[in-house]
Amino acid sequence: MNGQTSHQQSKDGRHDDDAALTEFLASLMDYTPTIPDELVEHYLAKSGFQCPDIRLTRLVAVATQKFIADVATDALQQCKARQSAVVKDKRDKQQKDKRLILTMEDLSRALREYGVNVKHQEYFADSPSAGLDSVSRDE
Amino acid sequence: MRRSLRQDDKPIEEPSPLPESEFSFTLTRVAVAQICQSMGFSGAQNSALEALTDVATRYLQAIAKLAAASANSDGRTQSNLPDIIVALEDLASVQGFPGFSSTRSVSLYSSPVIKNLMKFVNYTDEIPFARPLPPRKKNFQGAKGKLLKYKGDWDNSRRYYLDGDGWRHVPRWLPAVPVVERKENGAEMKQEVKWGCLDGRGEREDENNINGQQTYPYIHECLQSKLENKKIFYKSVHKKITLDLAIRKNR
Repeated sequence: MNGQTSHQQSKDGRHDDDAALTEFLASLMDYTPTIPDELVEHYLAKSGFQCPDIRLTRLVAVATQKFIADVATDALQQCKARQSAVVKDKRDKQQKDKRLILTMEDLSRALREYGVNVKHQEYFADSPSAGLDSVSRDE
Repeated sequence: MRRSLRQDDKPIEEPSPLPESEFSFTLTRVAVAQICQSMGFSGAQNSALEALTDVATRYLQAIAKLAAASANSDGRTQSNLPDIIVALEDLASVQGFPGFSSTRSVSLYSSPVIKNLMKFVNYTDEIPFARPLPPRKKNFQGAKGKLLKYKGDWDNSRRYYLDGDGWRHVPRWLPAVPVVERKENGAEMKQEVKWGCLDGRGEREDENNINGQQTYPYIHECLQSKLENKKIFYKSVHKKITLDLAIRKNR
């Protein structure tokens, strides 16, 4: 008896999920993802993904857009956290607020949580002795 | 390349054609830059933007690979919705999402990954791509597989079998079918299937003349008997055969 009721509930729950999913896929046709369909199809075909259904292509495009948006949000938070730590006076902070720039440092910190390790060179030097003290250079 | 889509009045210069990988990378970079701008960034370092674009392309390809692998393990060649959900869950498992521990016990359709996506679509405004892309050059069939516009007798029937790049009766996973010869051959082959009187016609022109000449009068009879019904279709075939006869006689 108890098993039957739980089975009934799970069936109803699944029906709701199916209905929500069908509605979602239909709404995807109205929502244009930022990445164009042809571009997404090109990358999908490159990796062996075959599907004639265009809604699934849009689903993949939206998933990628969400991923990039999440990464960008995290990088933005890193950028703002760094700015709030370096507050000199009110005027400086307002000027900096207008120009939020995506830097490699913020990006690598944001991507590290997603399992992507991005490291880049801090600087490039002309010669091995560039930037050293004059004492060590003489030696 | 015609640039009729440009809206400013600068003089149009022909850009050098990029290799294919760079072209798609440039397009993806534009899309990623738009997403960053919608999040609130007013600018980006060049290297950072390129790194993020690389991550985006790899993510896209990772979804495709995982979905294709999941479909192949079921013995299918075409991926469907559960395949994509499995792929997305695998990729989201790095960071984790609520409900991950009990994911596989319930239906895939109730996965939190999909629910997050639904929330994202509901709450985020659309960001259309910056520039309209040029239309594709191939025969684009459309989402529902509509036939191309009716153009002529055998044109339409031949196009029915064209499915974008491949043929409808040939599975897509096979390598490309070698290009058949011109439409005269196609019409003749069709006639072969219909009438069965073209046994010797499939032979090449450099073979024996005797064989070719023997079959010609028979074909001519077939054509004459049914000509009133299908004049347009067979007229072209008839023309080609008489033309061939004339060529052979001149030799």
